[in-house]
Amino acid sequence: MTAVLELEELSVTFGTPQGEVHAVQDVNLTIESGSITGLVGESGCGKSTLGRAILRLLPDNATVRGSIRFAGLNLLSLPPKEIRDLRGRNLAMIFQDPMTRLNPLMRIRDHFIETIRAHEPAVRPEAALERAKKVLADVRVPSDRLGMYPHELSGGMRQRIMIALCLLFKPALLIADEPTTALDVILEAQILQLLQSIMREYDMAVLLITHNLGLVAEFADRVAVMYAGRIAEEGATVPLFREPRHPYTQGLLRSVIDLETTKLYSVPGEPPSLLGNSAGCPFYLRCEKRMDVCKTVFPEIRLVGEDHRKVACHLY
Amino acid sequence: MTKPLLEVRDLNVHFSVYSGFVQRLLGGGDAKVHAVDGVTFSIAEGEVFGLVGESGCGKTTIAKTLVGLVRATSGQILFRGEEVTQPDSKTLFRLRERIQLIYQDAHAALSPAMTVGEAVADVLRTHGLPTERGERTRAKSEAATREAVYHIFDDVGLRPPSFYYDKYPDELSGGQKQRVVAGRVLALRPQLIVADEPVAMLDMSVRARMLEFLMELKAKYHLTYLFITHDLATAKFMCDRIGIMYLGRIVEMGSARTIYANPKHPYTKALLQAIPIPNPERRTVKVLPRGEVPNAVWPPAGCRFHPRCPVALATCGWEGRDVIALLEERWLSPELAKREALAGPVEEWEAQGLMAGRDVGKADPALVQVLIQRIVQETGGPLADAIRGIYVDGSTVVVEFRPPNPLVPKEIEGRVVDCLLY
Repeated sequence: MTAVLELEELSVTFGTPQGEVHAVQDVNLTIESGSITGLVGESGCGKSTLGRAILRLLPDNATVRGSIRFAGLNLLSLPPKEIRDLRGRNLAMIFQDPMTRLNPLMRIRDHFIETIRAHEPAVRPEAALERAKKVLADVRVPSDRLGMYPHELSGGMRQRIMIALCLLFKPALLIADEPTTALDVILEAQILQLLQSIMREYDMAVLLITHNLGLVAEFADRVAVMYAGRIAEEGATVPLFREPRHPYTQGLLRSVIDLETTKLYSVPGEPPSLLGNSAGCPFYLRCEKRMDVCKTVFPEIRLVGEDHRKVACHLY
Repeated sequence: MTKPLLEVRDLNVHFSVYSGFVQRLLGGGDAKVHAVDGVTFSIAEGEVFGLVGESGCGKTTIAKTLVGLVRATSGQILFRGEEVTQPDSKTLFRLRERIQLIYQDAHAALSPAMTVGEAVADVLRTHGLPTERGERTRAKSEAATREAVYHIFDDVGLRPPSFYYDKYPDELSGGQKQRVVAGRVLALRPQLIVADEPVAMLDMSVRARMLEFLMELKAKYHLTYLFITHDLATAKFMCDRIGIMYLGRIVEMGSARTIYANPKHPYTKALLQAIPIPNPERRTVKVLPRGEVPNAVWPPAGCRFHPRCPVALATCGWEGRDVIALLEERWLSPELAKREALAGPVEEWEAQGLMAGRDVGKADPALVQVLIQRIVQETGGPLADAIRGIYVDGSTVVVEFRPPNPLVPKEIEGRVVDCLLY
């Protein structure tokens, strides 16, 4: 396996009137080719900011530090024109709500023609449509949908079309930010099964950003758990779920309500504010295993145990 | 079992689809969304009854109908035996003191321009303070109202109440706002609380806290809940009885324990199977229903789940548009589309009721007829078995189905199921 994407010491800070918000801090993450990496965390933990930082889609008040290595390039030092050329061609992204990502005034066919011609201006519309039909068949959308407007399509169809738009140039990495959160449970399973089979067919890597631990358990090869802008724990899916080490991961897994739940559990307290700098472990106030050192010293993430697990906790 | 607190009998709620003046003149304006279509259930006092289903199944419409925010098209709603289906404004005013709604989004349910204390006080000013004997009296002074709000805040765990009274919603956390909303609801001392997706917006790590809070309130105030959710796992934990809804109908209803232990309706089975399991060592290949929930303006004939059902029978309601869906699915494969181009394209097929047809123009209809016969034969299954005939009418090739068997809810193994398999 080779690394498709490597994040090193990636930090994102937003300047706001109230001060600096440290949305992502010192994240190291490697995404291997042909695998699904699950990035899981709760609202406000920085997982979506991280996804957008990779594609340089953040607003102007964001400062990004560290490095994002992709295909031998550091994306952070590329000029905007080159980044634009990589987007959609080598790096693609799908979002939670496909309706807001499709132009309501454009037929589906024009979305495809525009996307293809943005990268290959010489392609004639008819040829572009032929390519569109091919990828649509791969995501199992009948080609008559090309003549429709986004509002005429169901939520599942729209998300399949978003995926098809991403597949046009066979990207090496697809970032899927909560791709099924707006969908019902049966459709969610359909779309993820589709992503999984397409990933194999197109030999892509997928970064699956989600709050849903169940989805990660079912589809991801590796998991990174984010809390308050940092990665708390990272490892291969099976050992991480079998034996979570970070107290936050443990709490999160215990709080999942599934069909076998007989006793409810919730992690005490609320996530901390990301405003300004704070010393110590960000999970300190909510942690049931906290020690004195946790209050003042930040636990650097490091290898723990034998399964290449990385944990940011003073317990290990 | 005690006498039901709430009874809903054959409730129908249909919404007219907005269409323009010209369209209405031309007679195309009577399209209706069948949001709720013949729903019957009852809730006993002290029970937690769950309505579970995917978006668009009608569960929220039922909630809104119960509190008079939406008018029933037909059917009956009885609260403690009293008819409240089409309440006049006075009945509605009294009804809302007894049935209250908790929404999914606590933030949206609170006015951003009103302190949370005032939000609760307002309710007490309008409806009066509840007394021990279940009556209401007008508060003697503003101070008395404020005192009553303090009392409520204390009850829902917003302590000290005086600290919270003058806060605006955006100064509170999600959990605290949920408590304010619960307090405002409880201020009326309702008997039935309709909770519409009360935890869907909350993060997993704090979701349990809200559920526990709802259960505490239930015990403390002897409440009855109608719990509405799309999440089967939460429903299993919370509910005594559940009704599984699909496209405006309850397809399976009974005690939660019975249904979860041994689901009968194919849709219930599909839903349960689709829930992601947070254990990577138990991954299985899931066989999912095809396609998506159809449009409620034109619900499928017969059983509404039949086009997606993995175990459908020939009698389940196959109709013209199912042929079009079949051709569409089949011709996703470019080779087949090319080989069978004579019968296509799919856009030229039209469905009406039990029939589907295509005017082949100058082509030889007999050839298209044979081709369609072969496609149907190759496909096989209940759709093929339900076909009455494939024939030529002038230049049109027609596929006609036999009418479906009537769907009657049946009681089987301790629950009611709406399915022809049983």
